[in-house]
Amino acid sequence: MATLSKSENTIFREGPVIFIVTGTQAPFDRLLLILDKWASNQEKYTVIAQMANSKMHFKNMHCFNYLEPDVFNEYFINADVIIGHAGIGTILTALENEKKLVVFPRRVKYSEHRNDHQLHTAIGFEKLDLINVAYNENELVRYLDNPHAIAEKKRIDNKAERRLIDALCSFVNK
Amino acid sequence: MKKILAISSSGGHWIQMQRIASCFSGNEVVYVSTLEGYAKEVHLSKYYKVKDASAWSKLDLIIVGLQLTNILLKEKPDIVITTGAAPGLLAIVISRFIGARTIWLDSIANYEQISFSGRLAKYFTHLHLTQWQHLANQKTLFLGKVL
Repeated sequence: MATLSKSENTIFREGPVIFIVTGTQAPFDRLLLILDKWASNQEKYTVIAQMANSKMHFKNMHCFNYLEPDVFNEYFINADVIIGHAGIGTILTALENEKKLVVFPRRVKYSEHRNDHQLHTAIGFEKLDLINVAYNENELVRYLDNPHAIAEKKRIDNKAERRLIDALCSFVNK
Repeated sequence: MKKILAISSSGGHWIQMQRIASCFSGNEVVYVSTLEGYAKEVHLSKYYKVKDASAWSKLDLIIVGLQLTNILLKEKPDIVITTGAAPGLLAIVISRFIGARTIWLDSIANYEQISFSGRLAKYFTHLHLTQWQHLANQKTLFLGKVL
């Protein structure tokens, strides 16, 4: 699976797209397996996965180990639904671009991360009503089978809140 | 005009740095991160790529420590700010020897507790920030979120 260059980017002509985002640090096979299995039973969506060097072979998705930031952004912005690990990059990029997002936290009990902070990130952002979370396979498949249930969250602008910027400004210019 | 060195790991750490970048305006900024591709996104500023290292890989940490020592001695920033993770912690520790003032902004990912790197950074940094009110205390301040 090679890195995708822009000239190869013709996948979007095939209809609505689900883009799976798993970060750059470690594979997330539990999520990819659920999606690959789900994709085998449907024809409506094209499923594209950024799979962070997974060693597994997936038959029902277009998989890329790594996408350059500009290509990644193009895929992200053009997708209809984003399914991601609960990484902050994924969450903030979805909110900035008003994308439908479901996060599926990496868990330490499956050796998917060094600790369970993704679970806590998901809980924290859910409390702010900024994301949809699937905590297990059933919840994720329910969202996939019924994408209308994936709530669109309010768009955020591309800056931190004013009081944080002001506080940092005053420290910097002190 | 101050010189600011803004260092973050890739992904969410980098995006959070971009979201606070307006607080650098009027000053010179040098960015440090772990992906080559980010240079394009901040093409008006100087950009250094360092090796990605986690707190769990000692050899990588030594390599990054040497890279950062070089960068910091060359750039001599007045301020060092980081949104994490391990390379940011190293930059703050090394910066104490060059007299820079330092800011640790713990990632908004850390809702249940401050990150491992962040807990160590507390002993070295001048300003130690969390993005969640319930994690704040006397030393770790909550002054807002990157949202």
